[in-house]
Amino acid sequence: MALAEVAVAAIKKNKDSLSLLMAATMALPGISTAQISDPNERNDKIVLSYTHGQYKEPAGGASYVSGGRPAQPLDRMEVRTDQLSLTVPIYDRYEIKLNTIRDITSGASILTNTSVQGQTVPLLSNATIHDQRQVVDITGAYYGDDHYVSVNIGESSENDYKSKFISTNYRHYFNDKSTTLILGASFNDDTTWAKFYPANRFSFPSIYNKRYAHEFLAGVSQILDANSVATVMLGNTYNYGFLNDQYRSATILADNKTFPVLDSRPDNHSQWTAVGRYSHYFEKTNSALHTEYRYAHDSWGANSHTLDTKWRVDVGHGWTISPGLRYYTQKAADFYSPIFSTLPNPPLVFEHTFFLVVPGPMSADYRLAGFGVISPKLEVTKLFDMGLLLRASFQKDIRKHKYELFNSTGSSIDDYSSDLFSMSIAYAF
Amino acid sequence: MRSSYLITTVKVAALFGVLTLNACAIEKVGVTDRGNLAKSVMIRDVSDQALALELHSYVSKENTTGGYGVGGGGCGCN
Repeated sequence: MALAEVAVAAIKKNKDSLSLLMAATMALPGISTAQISDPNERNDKIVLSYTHGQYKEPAGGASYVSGGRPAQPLDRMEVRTDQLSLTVPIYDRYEIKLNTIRDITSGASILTNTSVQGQTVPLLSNATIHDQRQVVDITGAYYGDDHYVSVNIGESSENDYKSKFISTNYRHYFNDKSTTLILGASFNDDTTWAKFYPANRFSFPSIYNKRYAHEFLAGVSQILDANSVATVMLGNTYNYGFLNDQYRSATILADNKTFPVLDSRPDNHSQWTAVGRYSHYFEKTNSALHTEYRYAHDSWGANSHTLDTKWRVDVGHGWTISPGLRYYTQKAADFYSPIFSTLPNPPLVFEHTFFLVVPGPMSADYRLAGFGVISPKLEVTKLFDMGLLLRASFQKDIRKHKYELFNSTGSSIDDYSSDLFSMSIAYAF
Repeated sequence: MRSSYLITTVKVAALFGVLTLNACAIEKVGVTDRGNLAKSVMIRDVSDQALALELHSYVSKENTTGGYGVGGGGCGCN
């Protein structure tokens, strides 16, 4: 028996059944199993997994619905999502996975910010948004002695967005599987169009707009000692094409008048990311601390820091409890402002008879603002001997401008919180 | 833009090479000493579906989108 096989056998001997089932439910090798250096073992059983999730942004502070009429704060976005996956082993080394996701989105979304009685306030859409995202994808994987390779291809459809994507992941194991090289690449071919405001009022030069994205990732995972594993990953995401938000506009407040302008962004966007992960096992408490840090360098100026930590505790009888905390902070994009105060140089041209044409990018999208988010979270899992895994989690995201580290452009009018609840069931048979 | 993109790519590749060499220099842990690393609590994310949902919620609200893996899945970013 080769040394590498001894290593696998030793790990399998010590690995409990929960590990094996969880490893079998992993579909994103570049994400999840990069954390452990032993191979992403193929489960010899068929695994059926289902997850239901609910995301909600409760009503915030004072808001104004479309038309500028003061109104009671509305509940913002609400998303209900269902995912179903079937993983089937084929022969000794192959595996195929079918995956489908359906999201249903409803609620009100911020269209722009405007000025009312000297105060900048968000202008919400009426609760008219109703969208459905349907994703179908298939993954084929091969498990070699010292490597793993997979190819994923799929399609996503929404009321105003269509995406075709393909990705591949490769891992190579060195040093008796103490070291894992992680490589990944993907390409997206997307089409977007406006389904409602303002497209139903104005005809755009191009109804269908194209955007593309390619992404690559390279990393190394290393066993440091008998209780510790570390991973570093470097990646780049490059988007190009139509990157504007066709539903949003920005506002220029000048000479006591407001001038609306269409959301306008550069036609390319590059993000470099560096991720460091460290996991340590504590024998006394049969628990593990997982910490992760990510730095992102953004061509739009919206650099970010992310710190995520999770403490997974085995409390016996198949139960684990995992409290966690995440902190994210980003700098405002170079062309972001909640409201602009300078009119561009003449000529003042109006696009679609209403929107002012401005040179260069300009956006009031709250996602491009400077802010910070603190997210406490809790996850509970229970494994039954029959090969059934149940999981439930809850997290609250509290976004505030004052939590930002960079001290860049932002506003408390974009402060809000959201809740994310999900429950999963996985069964191996 | 294209030249700065290329320079950044070269810098990142060099950094990645240094990190890889450092990883190879670490003393190896014997195969019989890896039992704790195989414990279920050492798996960071129990469910890929829940992880995908969590990451998608971040992507739809934050500007930074990547770093953890590659793939697609549409926008879903109202």
